[in-house]
Amino acid sequence: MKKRILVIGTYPIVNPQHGGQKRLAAIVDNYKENFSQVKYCAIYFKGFYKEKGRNDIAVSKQTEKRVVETPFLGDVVVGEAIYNDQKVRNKIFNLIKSFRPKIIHIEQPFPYLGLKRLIDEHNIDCKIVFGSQNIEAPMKEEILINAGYSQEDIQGAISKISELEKELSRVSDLTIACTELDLSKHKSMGAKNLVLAPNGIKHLSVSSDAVREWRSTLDEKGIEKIVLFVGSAHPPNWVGFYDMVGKSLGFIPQNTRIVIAGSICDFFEKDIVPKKTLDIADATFWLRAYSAGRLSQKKLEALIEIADIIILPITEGGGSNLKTAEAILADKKVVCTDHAVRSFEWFKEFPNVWMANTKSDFQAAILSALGAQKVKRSPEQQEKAESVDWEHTLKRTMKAVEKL
Amino acid sequence: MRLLIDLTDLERWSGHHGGIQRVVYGITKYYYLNSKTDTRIEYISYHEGDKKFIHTDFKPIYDRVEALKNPQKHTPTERVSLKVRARLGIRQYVPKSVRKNKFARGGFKAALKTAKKAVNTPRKIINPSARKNNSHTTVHFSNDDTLLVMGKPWDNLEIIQLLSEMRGQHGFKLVQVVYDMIISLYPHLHHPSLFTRYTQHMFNTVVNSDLLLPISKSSDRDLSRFCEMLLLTKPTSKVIRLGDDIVESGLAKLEKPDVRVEDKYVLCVGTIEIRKNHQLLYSAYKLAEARGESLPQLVIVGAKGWLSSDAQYLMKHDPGVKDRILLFNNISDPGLDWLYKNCLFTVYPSMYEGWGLPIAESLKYGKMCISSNTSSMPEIAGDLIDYFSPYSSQECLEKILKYTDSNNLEQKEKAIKTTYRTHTWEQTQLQVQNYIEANLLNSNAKPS
Repeated sequence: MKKRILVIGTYPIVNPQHGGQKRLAAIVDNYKENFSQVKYCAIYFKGFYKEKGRNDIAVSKQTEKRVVETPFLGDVVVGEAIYNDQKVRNKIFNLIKSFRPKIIHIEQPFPYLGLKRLIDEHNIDCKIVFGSQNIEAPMKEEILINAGYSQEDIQGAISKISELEKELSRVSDLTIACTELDLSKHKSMGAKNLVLAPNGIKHLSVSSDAVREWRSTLDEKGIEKIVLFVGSAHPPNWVGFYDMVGKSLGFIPQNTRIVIAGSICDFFEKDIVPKKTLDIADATFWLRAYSAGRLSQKKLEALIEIADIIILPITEGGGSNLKTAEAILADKKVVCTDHAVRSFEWFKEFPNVWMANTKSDFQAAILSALGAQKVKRSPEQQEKAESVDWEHTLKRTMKAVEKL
Repeated sequence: MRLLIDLTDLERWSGHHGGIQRVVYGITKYYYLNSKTDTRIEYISYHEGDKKFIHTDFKPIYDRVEALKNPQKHTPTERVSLKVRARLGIRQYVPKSVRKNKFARGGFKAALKTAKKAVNTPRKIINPSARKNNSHTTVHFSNDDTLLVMGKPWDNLEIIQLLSEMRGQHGFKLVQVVYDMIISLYPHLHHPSLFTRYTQHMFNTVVNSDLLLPISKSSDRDLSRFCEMLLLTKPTSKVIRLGDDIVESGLAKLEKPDVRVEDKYVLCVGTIEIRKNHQLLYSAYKLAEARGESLPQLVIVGAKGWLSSDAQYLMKHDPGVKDRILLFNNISDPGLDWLYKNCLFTVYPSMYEGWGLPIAESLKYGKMCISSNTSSMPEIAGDLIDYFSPYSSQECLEKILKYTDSNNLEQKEKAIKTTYRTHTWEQTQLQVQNYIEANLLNSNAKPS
């Protein structure tokens, strides 16, 4: 279809690691498959992302300083930089001028902070698609409270984000929501045209070499069973882990490890340093946990393949969880919270799924799952499970965009 | 059934035994002398170079220690620490030209520092008898074995790691003595350098042991707490009582170790470190000074330990008490013997203990002890002695005053002499043997 689509986000999507990157990468890929001309442009902070795409624009030093000074509000600063940061403004304006998009897809509301002024100032005529991942304001509020921001600063930031979400919902020609709940919230904010696009997952293509490599690494460490926790360095991920699993891991059997993978490893490695603690849980955490670090897709897929259990200890945050989709498609024993299966509620009824919503239940569920035999899914269940791939979850979105 | 006793600590330890070596020796000695069970006793130790357990012999250790204890064969000498001996030993090889040249001295100091570091590294103490034995025989474990570990395997985490692997493979039973959980549960009372190693060791000890033998009910409670906090399943535990049949110096004529010691004094024995709470005694003496109360001289005996400088400084330099408090950091065994025998009573203000050997020692000498009322300390003698809160200098002072009254003191001493029975190492060994037989010998199941 002949549509020029410019997608704007606040992080590059080359070699995507965190959930947001993966979702956006899948959307861009699907756009590219369905429409003739698609460009992606990230306005981003170099300190967080090392790899960049062709059209991505790094913010200036001055903006970088502001990002560093305001932890967990980097997306707001970067969004504003689209207009306030001269270097960014010029580059993005030139891109828009030369590409002349018919549609601008804004991923998460933050780019709209600066883009709005640019669109108004230059009377840029195009349709706006709002790619929502969460209802950001309440989630950000929790993060800022945990980060120790003052009440006044929190109020200022949250009201700005809340207004932004409402305005963008209102002015967008299409709002893509991640969950039914988010969809109804955007509707109540004034969104007129909505489509649901739950998170999906790429089909696993497991490399036997990578599996062999993992097996040998883990054998060397005496690890026979793997309880896998994959997450990005996104505060709700570690909050959920501490709330549901905790730091006291004596309940994990001797031959078993909670293997942590993804950028959340950076957090755990900084937060739990046995040599720098006088806390017995911290001192012994790594006796039952293993940090696999940030992994390439190939290595991650191999690790999922050999995992005995996947845990989804998610207690807060909006959107639907990519990791849940990953676990559904992986056909593993899964221990998860109700919060983790938002948009995949049907998954609760599947075999090999243990639901637990308190720490003690979650820990007990891990032990039960470790001891349980895996049950084969019915053909219907398998078919349903396979519906979580991106092509399927984004089908309605592509149709809705086509209609614009 | 074969009982393997780990002698790693004893094998590498030269000189006087510390508390833990005393336990290992005391229990092993009676296994060695008395064992009448069907159990075959064998002795093993961990070989660091080969990273394996090897067979060893208890007899050379027994002969050496008993010779040291026998004053007829062995003359007691001033105790010199290994560190000091090593330093002196190294220094004698420094050429005079190096010692006098400040530049050459710099390089030499660096070498000396490396040597000192080696000396301070745990388990690097090479005992001559261990060195002689070049023909190590590897221990082949079987599921019919029980391994008794009483030493300090936390000095080297490889040991518990290896035990865990071997136990997984061969299914032998592992029994370990638990001294205390102070390092892990009360980290403010111990130097932090050992915290992580000890805590990790205890985690693995709990996971891998079939029977744990805490040395007091208090340590057993702490062990339970440790397990609860870390969500570990606590294995069976049985409290053992340590022997307190200490060997006196045996010298017919003991001499006062220092002329400044007065006729009437209260004795406090124990390493001078923050946990032992000597500061409380200083405060009690200051309180007495303020109230115009006259107290007997306080004689404190103990090596300098962690965070003790402030308390020592106060006691040594406060004009109000410096003449009432005497501090000895290094005293010979006969000197200590004399001090115990001639004191009015002893005082033990420790904030927390795994057991509290100085209390038992005091009673062995027939001396009344006033002690802290926390942790394991009240377990030693119950109502026979008297207690105070280790956080109240007022209470401590009241108790010191109470027993400076000879009537009160005599009453207690009489009760101690008629009632208190020393617990021998032989009894301790029997307890260990009985617990092992009752709890483990009938089960051969491989651990899960």
